[in-house]
Amino acid sequence: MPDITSYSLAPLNRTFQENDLLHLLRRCLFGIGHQEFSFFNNKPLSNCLDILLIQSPVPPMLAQEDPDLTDPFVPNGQQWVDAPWENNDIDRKRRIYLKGWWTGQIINRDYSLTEKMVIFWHNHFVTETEMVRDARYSYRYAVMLREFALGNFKKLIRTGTTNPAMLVYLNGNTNSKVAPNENYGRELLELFTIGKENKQNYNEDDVKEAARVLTGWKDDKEKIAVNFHPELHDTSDKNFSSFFGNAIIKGKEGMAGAQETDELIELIFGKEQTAQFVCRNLYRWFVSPQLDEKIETEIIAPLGRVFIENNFEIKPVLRVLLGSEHFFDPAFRGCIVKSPVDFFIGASKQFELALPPLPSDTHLCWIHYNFTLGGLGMMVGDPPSVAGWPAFYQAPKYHQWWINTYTLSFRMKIIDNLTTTEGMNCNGPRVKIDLVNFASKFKDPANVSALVEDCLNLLCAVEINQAIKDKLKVILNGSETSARQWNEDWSKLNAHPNDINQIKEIECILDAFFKKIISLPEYQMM
Amino acid sequence: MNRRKFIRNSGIAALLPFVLNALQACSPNKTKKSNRIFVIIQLDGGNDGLNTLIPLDNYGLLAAARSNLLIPENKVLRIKGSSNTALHPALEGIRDLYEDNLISFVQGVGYSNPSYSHFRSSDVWLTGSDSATVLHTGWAARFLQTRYMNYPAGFPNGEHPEPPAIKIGDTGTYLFQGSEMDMSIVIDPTEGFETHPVESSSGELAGMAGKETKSIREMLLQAERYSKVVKNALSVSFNHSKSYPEPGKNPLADQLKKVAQLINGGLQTSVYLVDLKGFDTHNSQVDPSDATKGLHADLLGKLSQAITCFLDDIKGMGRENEVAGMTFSEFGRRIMSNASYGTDHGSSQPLLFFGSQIKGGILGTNPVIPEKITVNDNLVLQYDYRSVYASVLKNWFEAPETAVNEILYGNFPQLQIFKDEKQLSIS
Repeated sequence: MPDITSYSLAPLNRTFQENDLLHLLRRCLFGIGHQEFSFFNNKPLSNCLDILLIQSPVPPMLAQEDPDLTDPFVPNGQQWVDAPWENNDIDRKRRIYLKGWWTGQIINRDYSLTEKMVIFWHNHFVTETEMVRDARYSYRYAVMLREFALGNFKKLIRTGTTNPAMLVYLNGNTNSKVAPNENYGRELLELFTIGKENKQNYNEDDVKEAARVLTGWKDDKEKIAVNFHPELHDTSDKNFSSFFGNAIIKGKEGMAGAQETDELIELIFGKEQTAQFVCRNLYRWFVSPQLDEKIETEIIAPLGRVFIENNFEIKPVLRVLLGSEHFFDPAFRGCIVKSPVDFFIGASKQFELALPPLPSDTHLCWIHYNFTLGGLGMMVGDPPSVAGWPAFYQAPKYHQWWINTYTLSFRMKIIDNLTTTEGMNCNGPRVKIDLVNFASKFKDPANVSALVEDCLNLLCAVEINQAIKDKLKVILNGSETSARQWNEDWSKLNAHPNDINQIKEIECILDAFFKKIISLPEYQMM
Repeated sequence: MNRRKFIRNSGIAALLPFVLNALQACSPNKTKKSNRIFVIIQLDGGNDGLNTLIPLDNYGLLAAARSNLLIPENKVLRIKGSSNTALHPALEGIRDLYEDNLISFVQGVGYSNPSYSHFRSSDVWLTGSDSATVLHTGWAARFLQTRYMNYPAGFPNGEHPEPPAIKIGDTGTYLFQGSEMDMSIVIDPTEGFETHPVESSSGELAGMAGKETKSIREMLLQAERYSKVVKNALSVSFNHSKSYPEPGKNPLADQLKKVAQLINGGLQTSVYLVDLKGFDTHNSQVDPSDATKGLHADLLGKLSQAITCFLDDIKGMGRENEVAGMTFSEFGRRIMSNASYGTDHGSSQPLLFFGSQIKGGILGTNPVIPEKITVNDNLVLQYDYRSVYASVLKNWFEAPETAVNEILYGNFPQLQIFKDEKQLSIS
C-alpha cells in the first residue's frame, strides 16, 4: 500500500495524541461523543487499552412483556429462556425480543470492546435466529458469544460446535453415520477456522472426514440440552489429508466417540492457518479491509504467532494490534466505511440520544432499532448467510457493500427522522436527538469557527475541506456577510434558556448544520 | 428502432459505409441500442433441479437415491410434448406457460471443477469466470460497459438517460459491478426511490480515506443523476395483473411487480436482477408426510406465481416481444438425499427461461442417475453456463461476437434458447 509508513507491530513509540485517541475509539466503540472522549482523554494508551479490554458481564434477558400474548408457559413479566417451545407464533415474538435485547446491549454499551467483539464473533461464527427458529437456543448462542467475546477462541469454537443453535443451523443435529450431513464440517473449516484463502489447503475429503467425526450430536428441545448419541456416531477411523499430516482420528465406541470432536478441534487448531485466518479477519475489522503481501508477512503472520503463543486468547492479540505503530499509522484514519451498526447506533450514541424512561418503551425502541438495522442491511441476530455480512469478506469491495443508492438514501432518512421535532417513531414511543444540548458541550459553542472545527474534529474521521467549512459557517451565521449572527443567537439562548422561540430558532439552525455534516460522504467513514 | 431501418428511411444510405466505418474505428465492440430487456432471477442457496425438472426415465433409480424426497410419480406435473420429463407439482403456472410456448429449460448447466461453496460458486456465476479464476466484475456489467462506454463518465446523457442496470432489493450485486463502479441503481420493492442532495467535493483527499469517500460521493451523485428518470417511471400508473398476491406474501412477486412498473413507466434499463432466497434445503426440503409439500414446494410455488404475474403484466403493456428472462442458482443439489429430508450441495442444474421470444421446449437430456448411487455422486455437466450467457448476449442483445468473447473470456457455443432470427420480432 503506497501510503503506509509503518509496518511494525511494536508498541506506539511517540506521544499518544488526541487524534490517535479518536481513531482508537472510533474503531473500538460504536459511536464516540463528548462523554466517551472526555472519559479517555489524557489517559495513556496502555491505560486506554486496559479499559477497552475489560469484558462486560452478560446482562439479564428481557422478561416477557406482551400482555396480549397468550403464552401458556410464560406469564407476562416472567422469563422465557428456559420455558418450553410452544409454537412458532410465540417463538417469533421471543426471537424479536431476543434481537431487541441484543440491540439494546449495543445501545447500552460500556466503554469496552465487548459489543464490537460480540458482533465480530457473530459475523465470524454465524447462526441466524430466524433459521434456528428457537429463541431459547439463539439466546444461548448470544450468551456464548458474550462469554467468549474477549476470551478464548479455541474454546469458543469447541463450545459452538455443540451449541444447540449451531447444531440446528448447520444440521449437526441430523448428521449421523447412516446419512452424514457435511454442512457444519464444511463451514467449520472454510469459514470458522482455516479458511480457503491459502493455496495449500484442506480438501473435500477432509470435509467428509470432519463430518464423520461430528456424527452423533443431537439437541434436546425439551431439556434445552445437547447430548452425544453413540448409536448415531460413525465409529470408523477418520483419515485426514497430507495438509493435516495424514492424521488419523481413531474411531471410538460408546460415549468416548464424543472425544473425537475435541481431537478434531485440536487438529484444526494445530494448523497455523487457523490463527492467521482469524487475525486477518481482525485486521480487516479494526485496521483496513485491504491487505497485501507485506501486511501478510509483517503483521498477520506475527499476530498469528501471538495468538498461538497465547493459546488462542484474544486479548493479547488485540492489545498488540491496537497498541501498535501500524495501527496508528495516519494512512488508516477514516478508511473504513461505517457499518449500519456503526452508523445508526453510533450516531445515536454520539449525539447522546435519550431512550424513553419506561422500560417497556425502551424495549420497543430496541426492537425498532433492530428492524431499522435490518433495513440498512445488518440485522443483528440475522446475518444474510453463514459467511456473515458480505462487507466483511467480499473482495474487493468489502465495506463498500454497505453503500448503494438505496442504503445511502435510507441512512439519510434515518437521521432526518431522529432530528425532527417529534423524533423517530419506534412503534409507539419516540426518540430524538437534542442538538442544542449536544452543541452546548463543545468548548466554545458561541464561536462559529471554533464550533465548526470542534464538531468536525469529533464527528468526522476525515479532513473536511475549507469550502465545506465555509458553507457550514454560513449555515450558522445565516448569511455570507454577517459574522456575528451565530454568536448573538447563542448568547441570547444562554441568557434565556427557557425561551421557546429562541430554542426553536437555534434548533432549526443546528438541524441544518448537523444534517449537512452527516450528509457528507466523509461522515460515513471511521 | 433498428439502425438499418433508420438509415434507409432518412435517406443517408449512401453514407452508410462511411458511418459504419467511423463507428468501427471508435468502438468495434459497441453494442447497439435496443429496447430489449432481460430479467435475471437469482435463486439463493442452490436449487434442487432434480425435483424441479423431474426425469421420469429410471424413476426406480431416483427412488433408490432419494426416496424420502421423491415426488410420487402420479403427482408430478406432466408437460405437453414430453413423456420423459415432468415438473414439480408446485409449478402449475410454469406448466401453463410452457404449454403456451413461453418457457424453455436447459438441462445440466454448470461448469467443470465446480465449487460447492455458496459464496465462491455464486461469484463464479455472477462474474462469468471459470472455477480457478477470480474475477471482480460482473458478466452483465462487462456487457453493459460495451453499451455505456467509460461509465460513469458521460452518463446519463441524451441517448442513455437510464441507469445501465437495476437491482431490486436492498443490497448491491456482483453482477453489476463494473471496472469503475457499480453500474446499477438499487431500488427497494416496497419503498419509492429517494435521493439526497450531495456536495460535489472541491478538494480531493489523498490516501485510502480519500478513495473511499470518492466512491461514496460518486454513488450519491449517480443516484441523484438518475433520480428523475427513475421517479418518472415509477409514477406512471399501471393496472397490474390481478393475480399478484398481497405485498409481503411472495417477495419475488413483489420485486417483479416493481420491474414491471419500471418497464411500463418507460425506463430503458435493459438488465434487471431480482432474487428469491431460501433454496439451501439441507433440511426439511419436503414435508415428511407429503413430498409434494414443504420448503422447496413453497419456493417453487412462489417462483411460478411470480413469473406468471410478471408475464401477465408484460403482455398487458404490449411489451412481450421485448422482455425475456432466466433463473439461475449457485449450484444444484446432491442426487442422494440425507436423513433430514434434505440434500447437500450439488453441481449442475436446469435453468428456466421465460418470455414470448423464448423458443420453448427442453434443451439437453435428462440427468443420468447412477445405478450404484453414493452420497458423493453429482449430476453430469451438459452445458457450460457461459454458453447460456453467450446466447443471451448474442441472440437477445445482438452483441458482436468479438465483444461476447471478450466479456466471457472465451468462445462459448450458443444454445437455441431464443426463437431464431427470422422469428424474433424486431423491436
